[in-house]
Amino acid sequence: VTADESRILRDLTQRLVEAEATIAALLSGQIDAVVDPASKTPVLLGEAQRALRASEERYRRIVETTNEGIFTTDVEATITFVNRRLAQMLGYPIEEMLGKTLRDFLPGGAADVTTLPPRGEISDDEVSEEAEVRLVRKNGSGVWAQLNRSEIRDSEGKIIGSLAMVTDRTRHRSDQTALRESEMRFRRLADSGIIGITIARLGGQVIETNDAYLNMIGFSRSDLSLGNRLLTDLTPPEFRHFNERAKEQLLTLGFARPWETESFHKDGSRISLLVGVAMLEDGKYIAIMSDITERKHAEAAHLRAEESLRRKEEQLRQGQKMEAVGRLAGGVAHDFNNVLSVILSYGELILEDLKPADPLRIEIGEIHKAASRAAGLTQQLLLLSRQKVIEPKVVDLDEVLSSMRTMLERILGEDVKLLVTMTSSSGARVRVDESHMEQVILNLIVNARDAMPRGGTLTIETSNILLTKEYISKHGPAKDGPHVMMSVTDTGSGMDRETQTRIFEPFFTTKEAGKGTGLGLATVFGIVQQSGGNIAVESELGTGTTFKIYLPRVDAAVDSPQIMTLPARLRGTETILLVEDEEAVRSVTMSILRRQGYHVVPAQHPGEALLICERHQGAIDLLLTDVVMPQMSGPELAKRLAEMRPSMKVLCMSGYTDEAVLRHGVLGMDAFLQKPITPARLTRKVRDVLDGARAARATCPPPAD
Amino acid sequence: MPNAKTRAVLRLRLYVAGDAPNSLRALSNIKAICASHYPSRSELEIVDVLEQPGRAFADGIIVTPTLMKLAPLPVQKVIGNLSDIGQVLLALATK
Repeated sequence: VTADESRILRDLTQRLVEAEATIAALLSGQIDAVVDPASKTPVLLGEAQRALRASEERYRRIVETTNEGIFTTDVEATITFVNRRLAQMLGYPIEEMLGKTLRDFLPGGAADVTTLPPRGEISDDEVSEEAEVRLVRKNGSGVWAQLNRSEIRDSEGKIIGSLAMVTDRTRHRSDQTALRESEMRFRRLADSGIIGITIARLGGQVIETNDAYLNMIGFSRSDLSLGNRLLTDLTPPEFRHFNERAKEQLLTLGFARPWETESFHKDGSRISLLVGVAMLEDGKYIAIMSDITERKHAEAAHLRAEESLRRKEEQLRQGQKMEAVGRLAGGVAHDFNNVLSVILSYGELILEDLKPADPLRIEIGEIHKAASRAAGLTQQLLLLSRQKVIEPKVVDLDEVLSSMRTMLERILGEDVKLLVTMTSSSGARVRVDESHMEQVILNLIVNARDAMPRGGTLTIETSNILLTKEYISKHGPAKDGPHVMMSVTDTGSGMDRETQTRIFEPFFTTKEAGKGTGLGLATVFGIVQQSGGNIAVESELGTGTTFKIYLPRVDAAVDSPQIMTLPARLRGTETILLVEDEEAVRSVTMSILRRQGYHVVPAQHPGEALLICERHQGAIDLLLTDVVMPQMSGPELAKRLAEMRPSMKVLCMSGYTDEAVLRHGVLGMDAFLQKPITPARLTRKVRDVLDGARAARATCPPPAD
Repeated sequence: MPNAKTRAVLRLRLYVAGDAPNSLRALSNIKAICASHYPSRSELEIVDVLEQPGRAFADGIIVTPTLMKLAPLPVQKVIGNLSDIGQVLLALATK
């Protein structure tokens, strides 16, 4: 075989292989289209045909449902297709339009747009032509239409016709009419008095303004015209930078983002405005202004209300914190008082026994002093926890201050001048525990003195004031109504805000370690709150501090001070049943009482006490019992023994007093003794109770210090 | 020379009929094969016979889908939707 024959053979084999592959593909349904070699047109098969039909159907639907009129022409500009919308637009049946040219739908003379420019060359970019034409309907009326045309090319790129989209612009024309109406409405708005409108030069000279704006600012038109007053002059200085920014935006963007500002009113007051501006021609701009003064006021009021709420929450939190710390402190104080009872009592007993010249006297004295200080501290803790028995009575603060004056001057020293200004003759009567009030004054004075190490002036002032609801909403939980205000002002170092918010916290102190307990102001806070009052502080660094205490004023007469009749003798021979679960306290109590000649029967717990009461032959004159004990409380025990021994007096003692104990006290106790006990207080109290002094009922002496 | 083989660029032309189902399947198949076996070494041209029936005639294409391997030579054709990957790879492999 020749080379040619070999090539032909290879080609034939190749075509045979392809033919086989084609048949196989056809049989397995992998063929979409067959290209007919004669007509060079592809014929779609089966599924492909259906898919194409579906695709054509989609396009047909788009063409038929679009709001645009569509038609196609051949190269002679003869219309070959018209969609329903276009036929509808022109009022012709579709078939009447086919075969015509666009020229047939134009008024005479406008022939230019009917044919495409001759373009023989093959070009990739499709030229789209736009024109606005007036088409004539079948009934002779006109339609304004926007025409967008593009060429249709065949697969070789040759132009075979054109496609045109026809948009009905009649509606657009009526839009312009609507714009004119809108302008009319705008003018009416301008005249309505709701919105201020001003046209001015960029320099601020007013050219034109409406009445609404004049009403807002109170000026007359002639006040503003002729450049008498520039718009910028009406802007308070702190808002002028907004004007500058707006001017920049006007020049770059042609408008400025609306902003809130203030403007002077003719009467000197200020109004709040929302302003928007837009550039006009020739360096002029238009400003639209809305008066938002009322809205601003409402917003400010809202902010104030929120601030007041926040304050109240803070006060509440502070109160809760104090209570938590107070409860803890109360618990500690209870145990502490038992220990102190023992130390103080033995200290006193030993001192009694020692010869006057005994060298041990000094040491024992120091122990006793230290324990006394600890007892004072414990009292403060109890006050804080509001678990100390308080004895409120009507006192006159002016009188309290007067009686303390000498002492206060001594505490303040020579460098600090004390000024006391009292209320007028009306007096400053409040219902408080007098000893507590004294402590409040002392604590404040000591703090004030420490704030003025190089001297200064301390002013104490009392006055009668009426607390308004407004004040209370700002400053805290007090009742409205007549109050006595006592202020303590120093000219000392003052406090920063951070310190001011914390001064009433227990254990917060600014004093050096060892100098302050951090309980002073916390105690003051506790006492004032307990008395139904309120305390406020104002302070400025370097200027000084003022504490103001508000206490509800009472009209009742001042309670006459109780006459403390000293018992003629402190000794006795009566029988005392002592119930105390704490052994050290029990034995020291026993020692104290036996030294005074009493016959003491000790019991470790209420059960033992019951037994003793049943078996004891002689009389038992007094039940001296602890309050808080494991199985049974002191008052409960007293109640059970009351039937058995009705004439037996009861004296309860406790280092820990809650309201429940107090209520019990009123019902079952003849007297109450606050721990820590000391020989002097115990013997006096026992004697009082045995002698039936009614005045001693449910009272407790001032804390030992 | 395995290096020369791997460097050779594969030029392909796929004839399709619009969005017809087998044409779409063939297109996605050949794209997947190129991506996994000839990454960044293949060029694929797609010719729609509905738009350009003249080119199909010139290439002697009778049915779609048909894949033509133009380079490296010799020219090879694969007819059908190209779901038989083994057959496609065999046709594309340089002899």
